[in-house]
Amino acid sequence: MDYGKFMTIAISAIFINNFILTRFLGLCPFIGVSKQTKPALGMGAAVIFVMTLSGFITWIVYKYLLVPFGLEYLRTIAFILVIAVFVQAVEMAMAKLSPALYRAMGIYIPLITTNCAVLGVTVLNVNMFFKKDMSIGFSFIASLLQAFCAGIGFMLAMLLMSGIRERLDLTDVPQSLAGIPIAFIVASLMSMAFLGFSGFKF
Amino acid sequence: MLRFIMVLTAVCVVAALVLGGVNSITKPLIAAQKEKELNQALKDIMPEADRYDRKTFSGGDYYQCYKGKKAIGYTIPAIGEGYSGDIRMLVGIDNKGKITGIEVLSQAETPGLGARCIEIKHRENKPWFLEQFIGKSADSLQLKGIETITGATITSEAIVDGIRKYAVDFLKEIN
Amino acid sequence: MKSLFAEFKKGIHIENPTFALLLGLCPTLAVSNNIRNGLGMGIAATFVLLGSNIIISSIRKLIPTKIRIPCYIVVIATFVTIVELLLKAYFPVLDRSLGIFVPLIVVNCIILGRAEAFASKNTVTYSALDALGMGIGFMLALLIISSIREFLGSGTLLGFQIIQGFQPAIIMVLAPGALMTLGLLIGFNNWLKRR
Repeated sequence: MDYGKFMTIAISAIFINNFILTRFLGLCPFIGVSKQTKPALGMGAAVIFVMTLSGFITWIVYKYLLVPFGLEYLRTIAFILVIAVFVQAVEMAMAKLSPALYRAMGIYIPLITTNCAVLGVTVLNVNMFFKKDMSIGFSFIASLLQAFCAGIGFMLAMLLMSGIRERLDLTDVPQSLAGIPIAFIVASLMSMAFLGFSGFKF
Repeated sequence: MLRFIMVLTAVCVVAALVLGGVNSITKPLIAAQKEKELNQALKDIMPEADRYDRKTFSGGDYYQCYKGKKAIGYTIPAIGEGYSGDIRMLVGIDNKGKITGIEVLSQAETPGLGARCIEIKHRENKPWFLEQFIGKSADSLQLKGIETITGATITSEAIVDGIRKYAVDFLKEIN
Repeated sequence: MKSLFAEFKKGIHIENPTFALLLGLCPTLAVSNNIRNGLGMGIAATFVLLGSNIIISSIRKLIPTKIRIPCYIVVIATFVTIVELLLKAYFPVLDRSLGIFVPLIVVNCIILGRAEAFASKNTVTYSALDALGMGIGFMLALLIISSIREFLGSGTLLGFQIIQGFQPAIIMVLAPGALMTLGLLIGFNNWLKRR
């Protein structure tokens, strides 16, 4: 196997094409849940978990259900339903099995269904790793890796942002810019910093 | 509970039927669009030919081009490792190994920098960067003597290296 | 009659989905690097919004409350797939430049939000007007952001060069420019309201 390629996928998903700051996926939770560090961490962890497993399930659905029957055009509808059902199942299982974890992460789980980063990563996986010249093993591992690393990148951006916003609360921001607008401007500066990662490869 | 299942199933069945219908209408149209784009690309990079035969080699599909009955060259795929992801191209080369045209099929370079590799100048109809390659030998292509894209050396190199690599492999296999 | 018009008008300014409700931000930023993309996305999203609002408001009495969300998602996803197929068949170039943001209209919060907050409680006529107003509001927002970004970032409007010899700031068509433009526009909107 080509380890360099996997390394490139990982670096690219976390830094170069960071889902929030470069690809603009998952902005709603990014702005909504990043006021404090603790919820940002909880949301990030929930997203990593759901993203990785959704990447896994949708890969199987696409490869063994949609492609053999020539139903690729049902991709969007199939993926969003799979993700919605899966998120619901996770919520129920978590409430039953680990009430402590549910209290910590539970409120973020339903929000994830409409987090475009999750659907985004599964669609990107299909676009990037279902080409003729790719083996099944590579496509599977690459999809999982990209889903997991996209989650890591999401959490990284959330954590950085929440740290900045906690301090921002104490500063004197012009009234019209207070709250959401200044958060976007901060995000813009962060995204500029992340541009520095582009071109970085193995 | 039973009612829930019935309603959900009904909604899904109707959705699937509608989509099946739309798909059966658009499928031939989408295929025709793809065909048209491919033909247009082939025509652009090998304008003299009037017939293209699809064949395969280790790097993917290629097309042998004919003018009348005479074989006048090939169009081969080439992939360069750009700044952000692969740059997929189609390259036309004549029997002497000279480039007759390049078409970028997909790229994800930075807008305003690397993505200018397909920029078309005002009142022209071909990308100026790619036009410079015409007439050069594909298997010994160098960045020397080519005006690179300002601020996008990696993209320029990726295109040159990708074409050279695929051309060398292809010509070795063909001869 | 006045209220019908009010239903249509509210989405354009007072409840503008982008600047006031802050919904559907991801596509707003991602595809607003030039006017053509912004308009294309605006029209696609308006079509989905209109279709799903009409269908959902007409079947709202048949659907049990507990399973309404999955039903809405199926309806929305159906319209999105129709848009996807139509774009591929008739506008392949636009389809490629919008990329994954076409399937992602499914999770655009404007659409599910309007289905849940409006179409599930109102008649077909009102829902259709609501969808049109919201859609046009979204399109306007996209148009404003993409005009600013295209002009400053590429020096063109709709692909035509406006000022000879103007050196564009590339950063505006990249990610940071999008976030900055939106932040300042929301701030500007707040300032207008405050006066």
